[in-house]
Amino acid sequence: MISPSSLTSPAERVTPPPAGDGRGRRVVGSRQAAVLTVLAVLAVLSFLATLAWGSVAIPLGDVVAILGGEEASRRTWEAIVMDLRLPRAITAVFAGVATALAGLVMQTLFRNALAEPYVLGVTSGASLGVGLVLLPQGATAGLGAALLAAFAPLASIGVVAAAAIGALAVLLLMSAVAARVQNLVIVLVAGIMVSAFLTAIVNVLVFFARPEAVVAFTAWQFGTFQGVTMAQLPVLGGTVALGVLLLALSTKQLNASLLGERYAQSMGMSVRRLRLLAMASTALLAGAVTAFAGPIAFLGIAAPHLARGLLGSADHRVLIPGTALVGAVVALAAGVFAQLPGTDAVLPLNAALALIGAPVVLRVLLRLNRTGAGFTV
Amino acid sequence: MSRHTTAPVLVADRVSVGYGRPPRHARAVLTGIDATLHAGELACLVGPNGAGKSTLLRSLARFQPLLAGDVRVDGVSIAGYTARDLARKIAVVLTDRVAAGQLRAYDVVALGRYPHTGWAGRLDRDDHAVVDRCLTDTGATHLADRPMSELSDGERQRIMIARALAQEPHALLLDEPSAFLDVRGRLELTTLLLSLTHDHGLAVLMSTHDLEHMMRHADQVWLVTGGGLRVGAPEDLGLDGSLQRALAGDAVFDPVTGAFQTGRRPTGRVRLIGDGATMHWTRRALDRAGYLAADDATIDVICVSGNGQPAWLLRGDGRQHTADSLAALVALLRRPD
Repeated sequence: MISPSSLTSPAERVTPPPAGDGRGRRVVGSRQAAVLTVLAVLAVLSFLATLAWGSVAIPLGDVVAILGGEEASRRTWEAIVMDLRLPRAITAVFAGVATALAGLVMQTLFRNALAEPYVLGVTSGASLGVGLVLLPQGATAGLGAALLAAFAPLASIGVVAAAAIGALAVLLLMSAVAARVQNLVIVLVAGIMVSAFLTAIVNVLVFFARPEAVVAFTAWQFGTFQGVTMAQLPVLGGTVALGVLLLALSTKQLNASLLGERYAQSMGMSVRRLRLLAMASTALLAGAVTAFAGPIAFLGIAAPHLARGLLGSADHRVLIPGTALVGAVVALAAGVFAQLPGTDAVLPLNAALALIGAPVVLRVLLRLNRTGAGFTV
Repeated sequence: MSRHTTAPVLVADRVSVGYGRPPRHARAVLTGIDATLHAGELACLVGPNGAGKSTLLRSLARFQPLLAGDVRVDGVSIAGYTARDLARKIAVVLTDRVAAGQLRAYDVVALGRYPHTGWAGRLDRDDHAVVDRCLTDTGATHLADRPMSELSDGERQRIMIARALAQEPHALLLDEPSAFLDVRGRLELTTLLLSLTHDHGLAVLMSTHDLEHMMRHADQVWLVTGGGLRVGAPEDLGLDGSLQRALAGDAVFDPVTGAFQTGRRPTGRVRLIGDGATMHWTRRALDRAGYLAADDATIDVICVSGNGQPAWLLRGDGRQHTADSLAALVALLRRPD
């Protein structure tokens, strides 16, 4: 009798020549290495541009000098770069990387090209948290005021904490759903329902709130990279780093789930563990960004598609760094654009993101479609 | 090596499969299943649509819990395996469409090493050697660098089987692997599965509607019938009428060819005279037209194959016609006069 293991035990047969022309084994192809390099260079350039451009243009030489701890040509430039633009640039990098990666995880987990952190209700949770803090301010009369007054004590929590608590609460709820429900589509629809429910509450609050409070809330909804201080950056950075770490640890599972949950399960993957890991990392990534920079839309859905198209791969070992770089580049570029260099005017960040991002993404996707590159999640 | 003395790989012991939670909310689809899958054997799971073939396969692969009984793989109950250890014993090929269009075939096969690699999924030299060998064994080496989106159904099926083999399983379960394949694809799949079982000693259980394939190649038939399972050699089940009862309904099972025919009654009889391939295809055309070939018929159909161009002579009942194609012959037979 031939034992079944003779089929595959390595010592039994002479190793056949590598598959194809031998490229099969390589994780990162030459095209992908080139794309990643270009993206990294672009990220550095747009980081420097963020420091150099704004209402005041500072020569790159001076920017580099200031970063190096040397004297700049003008004293005020040092304050502008170190106190204003550096935190903004770092925030943009964190926010870009985090939102893009959170989108990638959601798309892979749900095997849905339209999935992003918001479909889980994360942003709605954060919005409600922030709404409960900002909207009751100054309410005086009527039934609505009585309703809002009940939440007034929440104002002491602060916007960041409120957003974080809101996002976390929704994610705990959704994790409970994901652990119980087998069908992922139901989880997806449940997230959208939770999101709609929470948004409705926010709308009621907005309806009864005073105009000044609504303006403050709307400003938060526009998103910004400017609100984070140097002291807050380690908190944002640490949370994002933890989320990225969880994601990196699930690379193998994410790749396996490209074949679908049942195949992944049949190869020894714990579906429940991946769901919880993916949702925890999304909570950390999207929750931290929403808390500090507001609901950054668009990047979560666009960056993974852009990275897949540019890299021509669905393999998370190259997609994770690729998506992170795309997210950073787009966020930095949008940040620069939002400052409208050379003017004093500032655009809402989310508007800037979509204004420059959407045409770029559209163009890349249409070109890929024309060249016939396979495009799936 | 004798296939009948090989070790049992997968044993189903008084198994019930179905849905819901036992005991109160359970809905059993199949009950009292006793079956054994041996190393080196190809077993075909057959039965009408909706009878529970997929449910049984899913339960054997532990995608859903058993309602009763026990399934043992290499002597150990599947409930006792970790997901990783079970994946080293049983691999599956499903009907699920795979959304891995941008993965190269090699990467998909490499995913099969999942239960053998560490947390990062890094493949060492031995892993790569296994992947290469699985590609060779499935005749898919030339596909390695192509993205999955560019592969045909047959090629994709081949890659999914190579991926299953990369798990180095003892048993392979396939759910209707030939469903989307053309004739050539089916033949190649059969050749591949026979080589995996008879040459490499793998135990294979596949569900199929392809009866011709099953009658010809299966070592064992697992016949889903009447809420239970009958196991036997295909010929035994054909001879005792089980296949006919379970699968055919009104159709007529031809015990000689092992094929099913519609239950239509012949509308006429002709005497067929001829030989070789022309004779064979003429018989099929007559069969389609509703005519039975019989030696005592009053109408003659004579196959004439002079100078490589076949022709047919229809003679009897006072008339005589010639046809230069089988379509013309059928038209003549059907023409009322």
